[in-house]
Amino acid sequence: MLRMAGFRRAGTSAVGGGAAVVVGLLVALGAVGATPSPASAQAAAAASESPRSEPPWLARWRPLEILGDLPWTLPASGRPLPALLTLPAPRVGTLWTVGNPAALPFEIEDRRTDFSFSRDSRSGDYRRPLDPETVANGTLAGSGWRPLSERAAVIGRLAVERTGLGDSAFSDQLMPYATSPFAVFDTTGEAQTRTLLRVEGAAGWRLGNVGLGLGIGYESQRTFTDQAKVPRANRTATPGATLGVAWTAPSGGFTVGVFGALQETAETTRLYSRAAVSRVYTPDGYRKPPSFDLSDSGLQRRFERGARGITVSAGGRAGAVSWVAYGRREVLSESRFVTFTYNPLTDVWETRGWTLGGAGSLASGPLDLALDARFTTLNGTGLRGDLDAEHFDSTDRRLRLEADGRWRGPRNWEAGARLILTRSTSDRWDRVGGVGSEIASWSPALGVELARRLSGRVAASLGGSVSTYGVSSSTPAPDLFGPAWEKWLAPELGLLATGATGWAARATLLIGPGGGARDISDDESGGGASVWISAQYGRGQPIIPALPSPDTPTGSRDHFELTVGVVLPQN
Amino acid sequence: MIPRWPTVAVRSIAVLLGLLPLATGLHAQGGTVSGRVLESSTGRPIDGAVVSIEGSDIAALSDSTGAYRLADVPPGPQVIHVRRIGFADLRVPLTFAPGAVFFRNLEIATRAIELEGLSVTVDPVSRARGELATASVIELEAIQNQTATSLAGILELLPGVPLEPPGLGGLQQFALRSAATSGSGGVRSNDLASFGTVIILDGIPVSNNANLQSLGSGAGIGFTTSARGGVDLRQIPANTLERVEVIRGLPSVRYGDLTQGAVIVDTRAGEVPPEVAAQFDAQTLEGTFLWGRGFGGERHNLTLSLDATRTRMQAGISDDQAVRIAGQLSHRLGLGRPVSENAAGLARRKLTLDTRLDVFQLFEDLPQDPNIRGDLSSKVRDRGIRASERARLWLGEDTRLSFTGSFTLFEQDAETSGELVRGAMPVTERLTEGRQEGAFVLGPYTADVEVDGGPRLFFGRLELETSRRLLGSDHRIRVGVEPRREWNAGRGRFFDVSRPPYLTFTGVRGWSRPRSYEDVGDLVTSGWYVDDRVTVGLGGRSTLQLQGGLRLDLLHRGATWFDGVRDAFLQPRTTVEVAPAPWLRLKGNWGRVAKTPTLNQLFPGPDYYDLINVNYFAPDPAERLAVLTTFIRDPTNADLGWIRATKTEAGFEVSLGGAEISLTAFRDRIRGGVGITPDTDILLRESFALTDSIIGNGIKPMIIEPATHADTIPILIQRPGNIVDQTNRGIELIAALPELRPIRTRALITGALVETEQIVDAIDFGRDFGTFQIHEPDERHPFWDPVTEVGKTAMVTYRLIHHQPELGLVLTTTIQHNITDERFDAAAFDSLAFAGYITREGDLVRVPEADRTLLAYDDLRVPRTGTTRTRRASPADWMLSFQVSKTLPLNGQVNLWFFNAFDRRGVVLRPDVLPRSYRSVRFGLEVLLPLRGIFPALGGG
Repeated sequence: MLRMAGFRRAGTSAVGGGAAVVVGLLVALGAVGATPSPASAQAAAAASESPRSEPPWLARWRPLEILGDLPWTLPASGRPLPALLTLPAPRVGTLWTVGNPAALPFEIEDRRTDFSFSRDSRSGDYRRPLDPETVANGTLAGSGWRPLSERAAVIGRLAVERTGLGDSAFSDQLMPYATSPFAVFDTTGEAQTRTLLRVEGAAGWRLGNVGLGLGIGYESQRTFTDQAKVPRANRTATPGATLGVAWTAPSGGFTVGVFGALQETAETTRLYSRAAVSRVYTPDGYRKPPSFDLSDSGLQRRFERGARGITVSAGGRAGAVSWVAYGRREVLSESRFVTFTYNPLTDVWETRGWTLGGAGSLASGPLDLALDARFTTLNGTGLRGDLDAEHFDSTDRRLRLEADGRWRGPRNWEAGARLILTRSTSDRWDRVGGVGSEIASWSPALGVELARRLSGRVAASLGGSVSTYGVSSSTPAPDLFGPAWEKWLAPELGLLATGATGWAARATLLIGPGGGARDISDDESGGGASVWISAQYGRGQPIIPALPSPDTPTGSRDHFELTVGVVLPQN
Repeated sequence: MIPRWPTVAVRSIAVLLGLLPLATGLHAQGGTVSGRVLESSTGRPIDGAVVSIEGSDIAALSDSTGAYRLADVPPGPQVIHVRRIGFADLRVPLTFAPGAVFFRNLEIATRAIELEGLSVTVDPVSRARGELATASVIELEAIQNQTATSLAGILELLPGVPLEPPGLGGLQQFALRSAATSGSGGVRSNDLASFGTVIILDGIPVSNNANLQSLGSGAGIGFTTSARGGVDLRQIPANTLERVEVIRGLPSVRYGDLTQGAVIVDTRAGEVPPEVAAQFDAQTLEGTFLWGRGFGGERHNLTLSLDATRTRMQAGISDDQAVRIAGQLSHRLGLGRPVSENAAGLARRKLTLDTRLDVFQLFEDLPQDPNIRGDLSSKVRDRGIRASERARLWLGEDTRLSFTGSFTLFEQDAETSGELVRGAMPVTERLTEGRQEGAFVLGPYTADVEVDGGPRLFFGRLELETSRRLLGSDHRIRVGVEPRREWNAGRGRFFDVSRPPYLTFTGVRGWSRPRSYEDVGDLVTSGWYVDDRVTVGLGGRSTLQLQGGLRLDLLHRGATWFDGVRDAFLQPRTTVEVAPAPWLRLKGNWGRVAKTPTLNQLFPGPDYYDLINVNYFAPDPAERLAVLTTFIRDPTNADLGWIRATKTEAGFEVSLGGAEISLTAFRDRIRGGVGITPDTDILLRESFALTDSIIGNGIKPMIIEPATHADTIPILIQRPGNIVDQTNRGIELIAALPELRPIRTRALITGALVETEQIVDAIDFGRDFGTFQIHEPDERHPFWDPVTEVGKTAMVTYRLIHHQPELGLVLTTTIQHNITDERFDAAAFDSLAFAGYITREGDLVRVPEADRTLLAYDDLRVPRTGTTRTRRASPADWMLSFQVSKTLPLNGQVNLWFFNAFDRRGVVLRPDVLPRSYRSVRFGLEVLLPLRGIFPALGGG
């Protein structure tokens, strides 16, 4: 039970009342809801204040998909737009839904190669406390899949990112908003530049009705201050691998599979004082964050984490319906220590959990429907290096339901909609201080898009999305652990404890036959490569209650993205 | 314990030489290979492809059906080279037995990555052109697959060379076959080895002999300089290279000025389709452009290469940068009718003139930023221009006269400034001997230094090469002469003596003074050589090859080759290869090589000794008085001569079942490396009484003549001498295993075990000698005999190459396994280790070992300082890097590379462990894009 003294309870009407708003806004809305997971930490995945905008079926096969963690993003910051002109319709299967590379030769029959370059920027005061006020990112990405023969298929992706993080980038870690309570940040906050390179690939071979698959992924990033009085450098290296086997019944398409996933991350942060003093904080739970001043000295801290998962699945096909269901067991173990010392003091964070999920799709005439559901629960325990016993534990749960529908209409029209509903709960407890938090949120989001081919080789689309975030919570009072907590950590809880709304709009122009599976007027387009350009603008902002508390967020967060892409012809 | 390889090798060579007379008379019959040239993806025949035996003049054009035929191919391992505009070069290794006949179709593709059998590493088989010695050849395909910013990155493919991330961050010097030692004797073993590894760029040596960019010892500020060792390889971009041959064994007599081996680098020239390359990572950005095309009826060929690179030197500091801009313009002119029908008029004309102009500049800047670094700043400007002409005149079918002439002009400017902090010390500006009033310097103050150097190199070579059949054997004979002159036309080293950039002053050896380079002489050498390579059939499928020669190197006295000889060294060199069967080759060599000392060693600046006569430091600056007497000693050593080395080697190469293995054992003994011989001398120090030495009276005192007291100060003149002996021995392994077809993966294993022993043959006076010098009551001070510095490294590198030609995909995983790194000084360290003592009069007195326990020597029984007492070794560790190469649309290629992908630290912090620290994880991408894919009108050349 929570100790109530010094606590603040909050609740907004965004879910109850907001549900009606969502129903009323079925015109063009969208965004994936954020997952509450307070008290900073880091994750193996790339830092992002927004959830991934691409659909989950495109990412599940990746060996670097997040394991053993539920990092949280800015509430109401997602944009679930269908991308009718640039992406195929959602696919369901042991590869696409579950991520088992052994299903590659069974589920990949077509070829696709695409490249894109996107430039996006974010700015505004409605942000997580360790987020920079401005972020400018450029991403060059390429992906593709193809069968090599009747018995083998491959899939791959690479991405190069260069991100400018404006002043106020205080965190020394790549991702300070994961489930772990351990983090490091400092008060210098000078601008940084981050470079990230990620490459992932998987291959599958078919031996009769049995498929074998291997996936390998690697990601590394380096982040530097540009010209700083307190230079800061952060680097991570994350190799990952998946290995799976699948069996398909000779007829009927029934498939069972199992695959394991493994990731190892090493993150090193280095900070040294050159011409100024900086205060370094190392929060580890619900208490006054430990700190020390950095002057004429350096800080070198290293995080090593390993995550493992094993997933079993079953799926099949009946007529126009495809389905798959799966269960996964996952664990994560993370150690934090100071490098270049003999026998360093080590903090440890461990999570254990499981995931249940399923998906189904229906293709009927001009209509494509796909459903995807996933429920994850994680139990985490923390052990401070200066203590003999566990000091922190947490239980995080997330349910995510997604529906994607596409309708191919007459006269070169096409329409699509994505609806995402996320339910998250997070219970966290600091055993030493006897302090904890409970946060439960609902986040519905809806996006719609309308596309039309204007001529033989030109098509355009317009779309929009809207999302809301509603929450009920019980969190420590903002001033409970002193000024540093109040300034750097309490706003994080305040952000999660406050409802929010978001919206986005996108326009896409395409020249060529198109990148979707259900291309508009293929015959008229003449084939060849497709080039497209897309512009998107969105905004998120809090729903400020009638009686705001000191940590209630204000302002808004704007996001603009411009993307140019090419989809190569399949031959 | 490593076996005594030289004995084995010498005996083997003797036996082999004994067999030679028995073998003469058996002509090694040439082999034949024929087939068709086909496009790999479609199988269509390709006409007009030039098919040749690499390194020879044997060549043919494929006809309209793609058919070709090459005859008279010499026995031994050869490479069939296929070139066709619009396609990637194809190289197919093939080992010819005498009289062998092969039928081989050759499949070519637009990008090398789409070719079967792509080689992205070094080859275990030695195929250096014109060299029989153990060598590693790195071809264009391997260079393009290797993510490197400079030549140093390419050389990581050699056995025993540790991996480094690309970029211009830090000095890049390359030392063949050497392990680091403690450097207790004042000479770093790797400096000596890198100095003795000669770099030949397009036939012209790249020299560091005239580099004077140094501040000397004791400097409190500094800048990046390569003056202590070999050439800084950052000046040679990797993307413009065509081929690199590393002669790890004994180079032929054609190559001089070396002790270790030779790195022979060819840049891309001739018909080069226009291509751009761009490399990017978090700290480095590089762009390269290449284009070469023929014109004027194929008589002319013009090639242009440009490279621009920028590296941030430190993470988190954006203005600390190294920037390189390099370019080359080459022109080839063929005159006369084609000499050889076989060459189809493409390779050999009567006279070929190769003209090249190379320029480069390498800037390393740490600009002033008062908010960040205070007064600290530095600026290094290295610029160079090299003009060369190579003329080849065919005097007959098999005789060629070659002339090479080049002039290299370097401008090396460096400036550095920084704040120094120290207690009050007397200082004098005097540049001549004598006594004068000095001043006090005390910190903090800002010191500035400027060093302006201008190395120059003239190099020429006249060589006659002919192939003859003598005594029933095939001979290829070379005779040549190689004049060379190096000097430094720079202004010198400048700083304000009142704000010296040095920190330590014991009251005896003064700070170095500004120095003009006008008094620095010239380094003039000449080399004369004759060389013969014999190929003999031993009957059946066995062959024997022998390459022997004699080289005479002369170090001249004055500024020309006619001013007498200062030192001469005759160098016999012999390499033998016996192939009892086509799959086995036994190799051995023995020979001598030599390296010239540097200009700085031949013409060291004067040693300044500033003895303090009066050191009166009062709180009031007006009352202070410093009087110093300056003595100057010339440390020049007129006897300084060639650094000599003996290289011995034995090994074998095996080609069996698709696997190729090379194992080589070597022993290189350097004698006469240059170190500092501390010659003893004494100086007279006078002390004076002062007038008015009352603190607070506001009056500066004056000295009262004559001196009240005088004593002698023993000194050590820092004279360069040929006193360093270094022995490098070890084993090198290269093993290329056959491809495992089901997983399309090959493995290449390279490894090296190297042990270096170094002795600087000079008396060691220990670190406390400075205290003895100025402490008059001490009547004597111990000295010690030199230590033997030992360093050992053992490293194996595993490369797994997964290649899918149909996908245009290569995944290269490289695991560097450091088995051991060890370093220690072999010497006695106890209190009885002293060898004798020096008196205040500068006399050296040896003490017999049996007498060292006597009470009379009690004051000498002190711990030895300045040496590495404990044997320190690093535990075994490993590091993994990998690279993904993939074809792109428009015939492009992308390489994604990840260095130290697991971000392993390699650090163990214990007092008994030798520190090792791997560079942190790095990653980036490189894109190669032929412009012809975008602009077809550009054509291929």
